[in-house]
Amino acid sequence: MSKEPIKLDRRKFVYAGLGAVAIAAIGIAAYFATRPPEKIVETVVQTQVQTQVQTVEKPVEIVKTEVVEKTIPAKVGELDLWWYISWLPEEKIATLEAVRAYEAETGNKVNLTFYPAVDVNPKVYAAIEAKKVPDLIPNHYWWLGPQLAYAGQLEDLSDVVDEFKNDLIPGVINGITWYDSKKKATGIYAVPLTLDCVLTHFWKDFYANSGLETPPEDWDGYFSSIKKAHQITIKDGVYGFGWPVGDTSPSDVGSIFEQIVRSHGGDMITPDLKLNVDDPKTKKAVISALKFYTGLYKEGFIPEGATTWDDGGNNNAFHTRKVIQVANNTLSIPAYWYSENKTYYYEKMFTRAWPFGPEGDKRLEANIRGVLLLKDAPHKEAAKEFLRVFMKKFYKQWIIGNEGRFVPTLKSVVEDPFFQKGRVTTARPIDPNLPIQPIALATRPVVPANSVVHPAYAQVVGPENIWPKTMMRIITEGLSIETAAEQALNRFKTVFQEYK
Amino acid sequence: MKIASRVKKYLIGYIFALPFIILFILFVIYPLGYTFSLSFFRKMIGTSPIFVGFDNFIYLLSYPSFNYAFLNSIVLAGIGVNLKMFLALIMAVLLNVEFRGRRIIRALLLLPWAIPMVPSLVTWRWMLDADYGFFNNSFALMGLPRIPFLGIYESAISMAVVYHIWRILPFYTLLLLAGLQSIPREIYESADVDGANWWQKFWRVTFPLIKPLYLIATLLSTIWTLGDFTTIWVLTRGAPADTTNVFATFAYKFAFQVANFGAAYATFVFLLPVIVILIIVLLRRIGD
Repeated sequence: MSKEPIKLDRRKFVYAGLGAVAIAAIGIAAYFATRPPEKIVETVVQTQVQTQVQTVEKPVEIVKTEVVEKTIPAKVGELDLWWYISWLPEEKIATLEAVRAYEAETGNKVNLTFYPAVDVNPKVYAAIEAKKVPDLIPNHYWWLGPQLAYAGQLEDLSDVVDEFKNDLIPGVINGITWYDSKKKATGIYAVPLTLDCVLTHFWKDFYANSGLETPPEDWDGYFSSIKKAHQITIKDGVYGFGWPVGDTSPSDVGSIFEQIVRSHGGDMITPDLKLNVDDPKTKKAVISALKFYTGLYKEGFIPEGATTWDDGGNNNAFHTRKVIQVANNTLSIPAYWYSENKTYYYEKMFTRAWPFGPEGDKRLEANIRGVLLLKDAPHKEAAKEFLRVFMKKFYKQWIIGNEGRFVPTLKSVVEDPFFQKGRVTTARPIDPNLPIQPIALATRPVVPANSVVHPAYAQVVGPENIWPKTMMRIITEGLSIETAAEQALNRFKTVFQEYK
Repeated sequence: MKIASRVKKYLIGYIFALPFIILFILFVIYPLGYTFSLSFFRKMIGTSPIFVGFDNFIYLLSYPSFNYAFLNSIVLAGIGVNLKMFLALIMAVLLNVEFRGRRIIRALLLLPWAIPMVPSLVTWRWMLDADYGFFNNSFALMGLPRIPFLGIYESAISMAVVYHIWRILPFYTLLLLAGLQSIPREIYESADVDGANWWQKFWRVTFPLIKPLYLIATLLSTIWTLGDFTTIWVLTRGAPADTTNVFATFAYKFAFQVANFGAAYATFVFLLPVIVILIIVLLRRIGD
């Protein structure tokens, strides 16, 4: 049977025409909905500024106009900048905004590429091996810097840092001064952008079960109050502590463990960067830290799944209200709630600094993150000029745009009311979260994290992820704490030998 | 004279094979040789290689948890692949029987294989999650304790095996099914005439005829599984305590996390003799 030819009568023709118009309309709408990202960013930024001016909910300080110096930066051509994608969209916007402002001011082009934070280090290694590198890279997972400096892969940035060296918070310089094994000399190999230390966040209603409003600062008082609250909240499936335990990723769990060792008086390396693991006090501190951390898990104060959490695991546990308290490196958790639900941010949660050690040790370990210039970078001068201009003109705006997740490295910026008082308004005169970290870092003794200052230490704690692995051996393999500690400390000795 | 005539005889063949030989040298021999040679060098990030003899191998053997790479390869390639092939054979035999809806079942069977690997692994990871996962939430509803499946070595590696079977089983089932369908009906008819029962037909007719295909498929699957990176990386990242790593994930960790390329190359070289033996056996089987 042959097919009949399709007859197009008037009605079908009209329907077909209407269909074509509808498809065209959808296409045009889709085009406008997916305009180039630059325009979307501009829109977001404009909206943000308007909100700040018009709404009393926003702190007045942010709106202050900065007096910009009138010196015209040099026109040095383009550069390649790799950056990481953060948990917070605001951070990406702040970086884009700073880069666009630099481009507009100088006429220099910045080729900005974003990568997921965990992919940056592998991509940098691959780029170096392929001998096709960008200019600037983030030292977000902070063990990258000392290791690349040791391998002779970084450009000295002393001349850039010298311009604001006097404004740096004391101690920061130690976290960017690294040894180059090729030059056999130390140098300043990073522009430090942020500081952070281990903080603790609480759900107010859960913690109230302890009978206290705020946790004491001493070790026993602090932890026993949370354990007391846990005994009540666990009936509803809410655990005391949202601490990661497993070795899926190194950042939070490593920092928390290192902070516990410090709080117990341990110093894994000496001020002159010698391994100090045979020191009885340090050994005892490591054993105590292992006992304490694994004890919390074994005794059921930490959710079972914490052995499989990645870096977002503790955040998720807090956001889903599965825990009373969470320990975290940065203020990403309150920053999330600030953008998500201000009532939660101001009224239902609060942040506290890490408690004093069992013997009263008040030290806080700080991670110092920044930007690195690769030795084989194709546009070194342009990159340095970008860093100079950025630090002078756009740094403050950028770090405030990070929603207070990190503390600035410059004294003049950290003094800003945004960091000292937080996002206060007439309706909400107290910010229970944001100022805690800057104030703690300003008022307590601060030491740079060992993995920020020594490449061998960086390897063991970062890529090798020694602490959670050791804890997992205790938890899942039933290894004794003393044996596990001995094995871990021996690993430090082995790796330090390789870096001699 | 003899040699000249021989060369003349084969010359045209060599000329035709030349493009393949060049590509083979470029994309197989060179990378393999490069990997093999660098396994004897200390090659840190951005530095020139320094000859260190067998140091990288000694480093690996003394590296905490590296022994798990051997164990896990045996578990995944030995137990996982053989269990999967055995199940695939059973499934293929069952699907070879005429029944209503057979086509629909065959199509549904392909689904796990059709889903891209990473999304399916992420889904599995979520299903196995101790805090929010489907299984543990079901346990909690039944008043049972939660189990961190991916936080305990035995359960984590078992889940990797289960995932492997779940995902790849359909492919090999279809492969074996195609093999079963290529067996001439007449053989079964003469077996019927001889009074053979179902088991005798399977054992005396089906299995001997499908055996070459079964063996080749098993060898291929073993080779692919030994080199599998994605399953372990997405499911466990080598955790807990580095115990679920396989050679491929260890190599990645050494290269792109520790930045010790010499150790990464040496990791692959550990695997090379096993793979080469398997390939030789495979080629002989195909030749047979």
